[in-house]
Amino acid sequence: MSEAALRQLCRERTGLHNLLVFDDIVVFREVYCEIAKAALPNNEILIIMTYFETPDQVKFYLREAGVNVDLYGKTGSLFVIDSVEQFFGTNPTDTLRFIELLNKKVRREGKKGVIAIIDMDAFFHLQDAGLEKYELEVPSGTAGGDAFLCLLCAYHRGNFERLDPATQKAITSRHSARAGI
Amino acid sequence: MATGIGYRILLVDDEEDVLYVFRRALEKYGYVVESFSSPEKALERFRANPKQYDLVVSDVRMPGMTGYELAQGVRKLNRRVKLMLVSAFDIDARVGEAFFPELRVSEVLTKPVAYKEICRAVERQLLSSSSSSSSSKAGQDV
Repeated sequence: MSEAALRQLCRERTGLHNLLVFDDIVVFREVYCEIAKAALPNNEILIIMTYFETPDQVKFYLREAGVNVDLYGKTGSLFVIDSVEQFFGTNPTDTLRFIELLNKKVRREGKKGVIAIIDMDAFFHLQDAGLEKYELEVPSGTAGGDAFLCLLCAYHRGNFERLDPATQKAITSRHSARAGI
Repeated sequence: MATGIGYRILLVDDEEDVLYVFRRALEKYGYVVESFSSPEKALERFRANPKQYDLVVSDVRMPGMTGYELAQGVRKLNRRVKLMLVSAFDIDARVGEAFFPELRVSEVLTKPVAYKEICRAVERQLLSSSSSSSSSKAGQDV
């Protein structure tokens, strides 16, 4: 991904439902670090659902990028979660419900909005795990008031291209801003 | 140290540095190791001669093909080869047991794995393989 494309993606984090197809985990890492650096000091809530890296690894790279992980974690502004645990674990949380709860928190605590970076590669973990259904169900509304909700659905190209062309097209069309396609 | 002489292992991990460390460690023990960072290429290689391998060791979360999918492909070609998975995520062992029991994965190691630990695990698998006469080394049909 070019630096210009990455900057564009970070600017467009206030879009509603964005898509990133990355070729290398390093690109994904760069994206979540850049978004964290921009969003967290701006009083936004950031959720990172990771797949290829463990939550501890993500936190390590965030710290390396200068993000105060402990502070933002304690204040409930930063959540780093394994996406397989989230979607398919023994106590899976309904992601949409989770985001709705965060929306309430946004309104209650005067935050500016919620950004969720979701590594969708978790859906390939169990094969045919309802990826399309999920993509169609995700909300495209705002959190209410001046707050916003931004979802960034990320796919490794090696997985995205396993989808048949019609599904790729359907998923792509569900997203407002796209990078790396 | 050379307990692995004669055993052939297919090693798969999309992280090149992990692959390098594991390969070097296993080769020190005398194993013949073929390593791949691409699970698709690894399966292609396995398909070319499925009876050649005694053990397949694979990472779980890889782009393009998960370790479970690789294991499914391997199992279709060889019902007796030993399968071992390696993952940094505790949940992956539970997912394997719950969703892919037919794979009969012998062991799931949790990363980070010290090189001695993987060598011990491989030795465990191959010794049990020898005792049950299930390896290709023992001349069994698949």
